[in-house]
Amino acid sequence: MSIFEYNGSALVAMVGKNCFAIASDRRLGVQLQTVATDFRRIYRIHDKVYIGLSGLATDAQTLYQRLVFRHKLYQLREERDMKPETFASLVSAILYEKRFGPYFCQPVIAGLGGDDQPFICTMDCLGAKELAKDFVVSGSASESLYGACESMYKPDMEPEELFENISQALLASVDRDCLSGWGGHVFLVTPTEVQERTLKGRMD
Amino acid sequence: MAKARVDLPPKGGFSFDLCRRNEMLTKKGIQLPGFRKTGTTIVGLIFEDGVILGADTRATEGPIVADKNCEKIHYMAPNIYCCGAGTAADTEAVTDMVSSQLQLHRYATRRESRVITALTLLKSHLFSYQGHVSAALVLGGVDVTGPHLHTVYPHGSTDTLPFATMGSGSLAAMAVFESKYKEGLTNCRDKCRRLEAELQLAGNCTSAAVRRSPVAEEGSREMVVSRRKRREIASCSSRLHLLREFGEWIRELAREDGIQLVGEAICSGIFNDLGSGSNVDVCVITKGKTDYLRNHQLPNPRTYISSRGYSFDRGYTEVLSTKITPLKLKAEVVENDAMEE
Repeated sequence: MSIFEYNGSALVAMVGKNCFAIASDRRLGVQLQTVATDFRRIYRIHDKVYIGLSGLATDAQTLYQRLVFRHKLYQLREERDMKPETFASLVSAILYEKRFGPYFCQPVIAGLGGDDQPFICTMDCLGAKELAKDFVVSGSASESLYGACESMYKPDMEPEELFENISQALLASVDRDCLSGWGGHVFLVTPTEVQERTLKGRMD
Repeated sequence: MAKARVDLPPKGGFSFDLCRRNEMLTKKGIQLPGFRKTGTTIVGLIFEDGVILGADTRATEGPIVADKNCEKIHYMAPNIYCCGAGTAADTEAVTDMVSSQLQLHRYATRRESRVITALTLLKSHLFSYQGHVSAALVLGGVDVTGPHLHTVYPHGSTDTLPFATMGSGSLAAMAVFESKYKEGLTNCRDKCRRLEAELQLAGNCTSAAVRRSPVAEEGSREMVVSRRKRREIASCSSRLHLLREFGEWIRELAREDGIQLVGEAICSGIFNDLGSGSNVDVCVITKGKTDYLRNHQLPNPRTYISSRGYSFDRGYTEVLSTKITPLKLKAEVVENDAMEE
């Protein structure tokens, strides 16, 4: 079994009109046994930058703690929040530093950059950045997510429509993956507010 | 208080502290992950005035396409670009690192970077990691010594070539180059040589016609000459003018020929190699000017999208709980000058 299928995860981020949405499943398992059904994979770095970490849960938590530390240092030095592009470079550098003994995480970073333009990107476990203009996916359900997002995505969606689209893409994809599911968590971020919703899904 | 080890930001280079844990996991039977590769077709060729680099735009993760339109032609210096194949993180990190080192070197020497400098920096880094940094590169650029094209292999060996291909689609692209390279581009050099000879001839012709005529003055349009001589002079001078314009056009043609050949080679890789796909990126580097033609050709458009698209009604998804947090606008504090008070 692959190390990425040890805990199971599903993460997706989509770009809308002056907003973005990032969604994850809620299951935490140890191979085929479910251990928690309310596990959080998406973390807030600051008001306008969110990071979701899929893969091995222990590495995800360690990596998140290191990133929060680095961001707090940055805030103290620069007296402002990090831009999402800068944050993505930071994550990429931290992951590449461990090139020959990597963290088994695949981050999905989403944020509102300068002029509140949405920014999303994903990386493999070594930090190879992939910037996309439409959607990015990660996790054990990534193959299904690619398919669902490819067909359901439309450019320039309004926040309500974006929420429906990303939720349906997530729920459809985790139904085809044994290791992820048990509902969903969606963060929808616009320049003025953050909407956090919990989705009802199949509990199997 | 126990001795605390502060997790300071590292000074650079690789960190190996998770290697022991990962080895333990492998022994327990867990497979280590595959990294994102660029399963690529990258090419480069030297033409008359400079270098043309080309690449496809597909990034793969195993058999899945991770990115349909990634950038594989990396910036090294304003006059040097590098295409990368192999593990995506390695090619990006190595080209970024050498690009920064070249910038520092430019500041120190106050000169334009040379391609050979970039080559030496790349090969010494890759050799010192004995091939574990899996980056196969095609490096091309134009500096004071002229146009250069090199290939760099993951173990640190390099080749200097007039045309080169790398990546999983390299055989498909090389097939195109081997059959068409000399024919397409040397023709232009021959055309230019013939053109120069003709220009000379036309010049002689005009001056000879003018000399032969008894009343003609050099450069004068009002010549009292016989009709035959007049026609002869007119045809010579117009030909001269045409040939001069043709000369400019020939130079353009060599560049267009080169871009077309590169496009053909990459398309050959895209259609015949499964690890390469999507679009063609081209970068033309000449003395003093670089043209990055991103998505120069798009031979694989998306045709399967339904025009209606998916649309879900508002409130269609079942929601268990909602939490809305308004974002506070951050106020900017402008500090007054102490003198103003």
